[in-house]
Amino acid sequence: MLVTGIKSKPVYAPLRYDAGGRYHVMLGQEVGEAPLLRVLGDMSGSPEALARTRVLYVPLRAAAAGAAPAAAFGGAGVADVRIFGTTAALLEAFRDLLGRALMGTRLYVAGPESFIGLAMKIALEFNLNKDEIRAEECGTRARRVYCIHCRTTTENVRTNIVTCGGCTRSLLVRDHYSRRLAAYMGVMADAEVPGELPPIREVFA
Amino acid sequence: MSTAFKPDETFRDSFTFRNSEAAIRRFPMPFPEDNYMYSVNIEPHTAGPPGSVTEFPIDIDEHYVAECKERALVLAAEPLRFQALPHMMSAQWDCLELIMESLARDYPQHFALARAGNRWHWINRPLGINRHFTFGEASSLDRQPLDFITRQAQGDWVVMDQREGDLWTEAGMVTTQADWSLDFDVGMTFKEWHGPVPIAHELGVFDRALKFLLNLRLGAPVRRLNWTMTVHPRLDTSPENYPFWGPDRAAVTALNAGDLVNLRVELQGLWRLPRSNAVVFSIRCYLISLRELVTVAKWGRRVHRVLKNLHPELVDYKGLARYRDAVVEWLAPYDDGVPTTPGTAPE
Repeated sequence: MLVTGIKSKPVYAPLRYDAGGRYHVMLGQEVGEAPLLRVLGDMSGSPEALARTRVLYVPLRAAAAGAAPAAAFGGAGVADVRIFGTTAALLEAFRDLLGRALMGTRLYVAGPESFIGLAMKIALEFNLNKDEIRAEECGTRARRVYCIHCRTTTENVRTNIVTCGGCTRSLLVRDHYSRRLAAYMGVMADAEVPGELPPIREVFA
Repeated sequence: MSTAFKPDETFRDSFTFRNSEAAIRRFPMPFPEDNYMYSVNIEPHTAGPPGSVTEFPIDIDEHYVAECKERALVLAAEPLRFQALPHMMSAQWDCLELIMESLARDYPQHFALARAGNRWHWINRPLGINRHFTFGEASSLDRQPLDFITRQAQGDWVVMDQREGDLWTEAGMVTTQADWSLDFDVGMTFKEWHGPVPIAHELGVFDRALKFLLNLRLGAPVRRLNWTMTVHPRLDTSPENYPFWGPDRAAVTALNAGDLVNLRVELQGLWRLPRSNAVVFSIRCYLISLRELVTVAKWGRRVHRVLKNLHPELVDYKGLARYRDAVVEWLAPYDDGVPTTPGTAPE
């Protein structure tokens, strides 16, 4: 069974401003702030585009919260900045926004892979195509892992083997990735011989 | 082949599945040579010799009734083994038409299809189904069209939508699979779906296969063979149920391999569908125990040589790592070193 090097593992490229878009929706988590500010910098000569830009951002770490991010995005010329206390709240607002979005909307996502995955999952439900979406990965490589046996998703997985939050089996984390589930596949690691497990190591720092 | 069904054979627990002598002779041997590596081994799905598995586009054999019963057992426990995204309804009807037309045309003793405009009448004698419905009207069947018809067909069925220069796995009935999950993979592009296959990406196999399939024409289906091995004649080797069948792999020895281990061959057929422009991919599984296999001397020699020299990454990918050596040891006495004739025929 192939565990690493699987071609369904998504690859993301640095964010760039898409001048072909009419509306710009930017989602950021934690260290995703910097790439978004970089794109906004590229838009500084286009006040009309900035006026049609919305930023949804969740800092996560308490130290980064407060007024600082809002001020930074505001300073880049964005009027519509919303700062969230949790990722779930941000995603809910994003879903609501997409329900009302107009043709010509461009989506920019910046943050850890698991955050991008969750945003992409929602974008997929609204049939945004790949030309309308761009994402830049930064921050933790911790994974969401979907147990193929009991269908529970375990969050923030940093190790090659993880105990399933649902069925408690030891799962081997594969590179096989589902955009629809926004998760990697977890498969029972010692099904053939109970207890026969490889050494547990942190591999997704 | 004259199909005397064996409705009571099982693919779980008691594992009473066996091949008749005729079924052994028609087994789709996947190795034309004494060694094996991936290739884009796609050929036109044209009629093979009478009695062969490719005589008709969709093969019905002695295991038909038992396999349909096995599928019903899987679905009763795990309904998500059938899935279809909402925009696939037109393709579902296309599949129903393809299967009903093929079976009624090629096996009139078992199946009948009468059509008056959209009013269709379907008879499946082996399963005791007699059904009037309106083609294209979902409410006229008690299940979705693909679900309805693939419960009456052997093999797995995956329907791929074609758009943006790709094929998207967006509907399917998958209960007899070699360790892949429709539930996990539904919605994937062609290359994402095949992501876990080693080496072949680097060989450019999927680039070429995708390009080929995007240009698949209506009325010109194609096929290929693929293979792996399975302990016991178990059809449902899904990742979902791996905790239950995984331990079988640790039970194989050089003494019991002949009875426990089966060569598992997939006859994969691909058709362009007329209304939806989707592509349906049928993955029909044939099983043969090593003991049955060596009754054809050429096959005993050949499978021994293929397995002995198989690329290590393929040994791992096909899940053979734990018992390949035992299988090679069991087969060794059936390989006297005599050269084999080219091609797959029993000779």
